[in-house]
Amino acid sequence: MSLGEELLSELCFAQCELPISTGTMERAKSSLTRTLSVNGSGRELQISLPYFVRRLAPSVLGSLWIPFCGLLRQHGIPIFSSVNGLKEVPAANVPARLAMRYIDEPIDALELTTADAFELACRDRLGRTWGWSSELRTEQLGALVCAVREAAGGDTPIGIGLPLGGPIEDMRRVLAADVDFISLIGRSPRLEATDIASIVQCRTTAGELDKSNLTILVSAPISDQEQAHKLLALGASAVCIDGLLRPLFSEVSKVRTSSDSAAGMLSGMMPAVSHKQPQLTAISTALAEYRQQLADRLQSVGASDLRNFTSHVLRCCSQRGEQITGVAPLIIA
Amino acid sequence: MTENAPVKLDCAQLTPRELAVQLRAAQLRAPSGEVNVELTGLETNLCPSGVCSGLTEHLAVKAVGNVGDFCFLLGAEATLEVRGNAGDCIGHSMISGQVTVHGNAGRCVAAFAQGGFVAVLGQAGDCCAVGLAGADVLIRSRVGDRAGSCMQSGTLLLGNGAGEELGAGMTGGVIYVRGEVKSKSTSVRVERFKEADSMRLSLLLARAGIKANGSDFKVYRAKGQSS
Repeated sequence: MSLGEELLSELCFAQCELPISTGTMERAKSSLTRTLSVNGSGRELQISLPYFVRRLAPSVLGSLWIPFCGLLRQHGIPIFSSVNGLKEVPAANVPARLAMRYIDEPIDALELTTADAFELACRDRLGRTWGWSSELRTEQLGALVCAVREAAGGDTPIGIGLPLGGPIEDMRRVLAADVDFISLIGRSPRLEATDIASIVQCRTTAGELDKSNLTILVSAPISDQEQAHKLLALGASAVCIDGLLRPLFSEVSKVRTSSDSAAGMLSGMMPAVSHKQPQLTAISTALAEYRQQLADRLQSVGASDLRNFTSHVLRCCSQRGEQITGVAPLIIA
Repeated sequence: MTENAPVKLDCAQLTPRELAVQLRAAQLRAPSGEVNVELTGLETNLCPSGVCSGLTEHLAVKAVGNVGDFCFLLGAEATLEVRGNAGDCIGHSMISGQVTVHGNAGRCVAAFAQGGFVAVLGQAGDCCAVGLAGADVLIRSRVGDRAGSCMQSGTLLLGNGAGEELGAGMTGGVIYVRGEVKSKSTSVRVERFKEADSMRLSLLLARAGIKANGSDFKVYRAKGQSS
């Protein structure tokens, strides 16, 4: 278990002691929507569930890609994808598309103008010598965001992507740059304690700069729903669920490989069996479960909607956790 | 208002959003052809950023004064004339059209520009034409370090020498330099000036309104690239 995972396991949800009516339960289910608004424009991007997909691409999913996109659309979950990635997907199956470009890369007009939200990502300071946010002054970052927003037509949310666990100064400068959202992207395959500290710091700093409603997208390597809920409570507006979905797809590919080889040996004797449908059903069921579990969680902590689902619903059972997350200690009567 | 009279927009009174909306509306006001727009209120120290970004209409915009960073980002078709200085990254990722800066420009002029023409008649900062991908860029006076770095295609014309590391990481395109080059990157080689180069240079210089035949320029291309 990594330090970050250990830290999350030390957090628990404070149960609401008041009885909850069925009406509240229904309301909780319908209040999982997140809104991404654009500065200076009345347009908003609605996300039905506070989740998104970042790194699952046609090359990873193969023939499952198109139905998978349909499922995401059905469940209102956006996806980071290029225009090319969604070229083959029927219009009725296209989910909300988030596009991303590094700030040291050319900006593609088609990618920008057709995206539902656009992220200008800064490179990791450790890995590159050019392309992190401190290369640009704060006012320049603001100018870049403003220029890209206008180039996109003025009503597309424009955000800046920063590596999770990066310097706090970078985060402050990005927050001061009038962005529509900020995206924190994990750089290691395991969840680190600094990642969690970054999320908390980002939400706190946004509050200090009078931007408490700023959308924070978090792409961290999570392995279960509980962790996703805790990140949401700690300050994330939406969490990347690649880590939750990937095992479902790997199960799928294992089944496919073994059945394919059997079909090969017995070719002509047995018809090829399509495993596509049950796989998709499993993924669809999982997505529906995510919605249900989050609604249940909101209900259990007494939060009427996601705006009330903050770190106040968490309790921490370690001193280290309290220091890093600022969550209130767990008091056992 | 007569048909040829410029549409005047006072930038001091408009937010970047309002300016962009007004520029798009200016095109719609004219039934056909090019519309002249004059941007005023740029004499203050607060230069507006992102002017004309994403502009894809047939507009001839004249900015009387200084403009800020990221002007004409992803611009196409339109022309922008800046009667003053420009900030960093003017013409970033531009697709087509023309930008002329009569004063000086900051860093990363025409970064990643895919097409069109950018002329800076004064000086330009570091990383000029970084990642250039097809546009033509002319800097009449001095230029900073790392000009033409990571250039893929297009033409960079430097009228008064170059700083350190000219053409670092360059993989394509051509750089013409008149004057002293402090140092060139190991990824570029000097080539003999040919007739085709002379024609190309003359056309670019004429486009920027400069009368010269370009015979005293040196030619730099990426190593391994055919001329």
